[in-house]
Amino acid sequence: MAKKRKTGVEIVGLDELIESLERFGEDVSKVADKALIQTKEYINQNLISAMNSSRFDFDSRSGNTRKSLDQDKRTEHGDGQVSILAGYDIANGGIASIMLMYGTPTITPDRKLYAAVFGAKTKKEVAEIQGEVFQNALREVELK
Amino acid sequence: MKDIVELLSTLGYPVIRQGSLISSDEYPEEFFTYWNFETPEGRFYDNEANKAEWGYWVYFYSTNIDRTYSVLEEARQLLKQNGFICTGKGEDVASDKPTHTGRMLTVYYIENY
Repeated sequence: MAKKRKTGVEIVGLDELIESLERFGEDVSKVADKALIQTKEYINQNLISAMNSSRFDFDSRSGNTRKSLDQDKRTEHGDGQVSILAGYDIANGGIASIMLMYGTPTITPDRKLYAAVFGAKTKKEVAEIQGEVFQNALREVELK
Repeated sequence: MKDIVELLSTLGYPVIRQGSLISSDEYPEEFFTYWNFETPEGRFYDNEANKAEWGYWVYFYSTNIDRTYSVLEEARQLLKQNGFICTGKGEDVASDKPTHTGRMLTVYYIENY
């Protein structure tokens, strides 16, 4: 069983930033890649913090859940969209993360694990990270 | 403010908080669980919030896999009729007993004040 959940953020003024970058002849997809990779690094760090402070021992038994944290920085482009997979590799040891995030009748959901990816604070930080990457890219081009 | 536990109880199955069963307990044959995963406030005016968005996960577990779909759909319709916003028609979740399968919904209720 694989479980993918898409999440997106709204960045105010992003369309205008993209238009400005395109006017300068910049490859916007490369900027988008950078924004997504930094997002993934941020979320992975959130997940590591959540695991370290969890009441569950992520290093007991095989430690598969911790090891399954996806480190691949490849992005996917298509249909005018760019995406990146973040979180646990469900097919390779990460399935326990679903049980821990959403709980079972005998296990309460791990709030921090869920918030590390889907929480309101995470979404706000991700929007800021991505907005900053685009703004910095425009600043660099304007200074050339 | 709608009480989600009261509402789900009208369907005739036990309704318990997610994680409140002990692993040695016998599961009921069919039952709901729930979890309030977030309740952010919003629509601030003069430093006071004027609404809260209650986010719930609603789970249904059964020994009959078909009923995890049909009863969860009944719950989805009931919640919608009572002002809850349902994001999708549900997804599979893990069960810690091999006898039971489970599915869950993510729903929201906007409380204005």
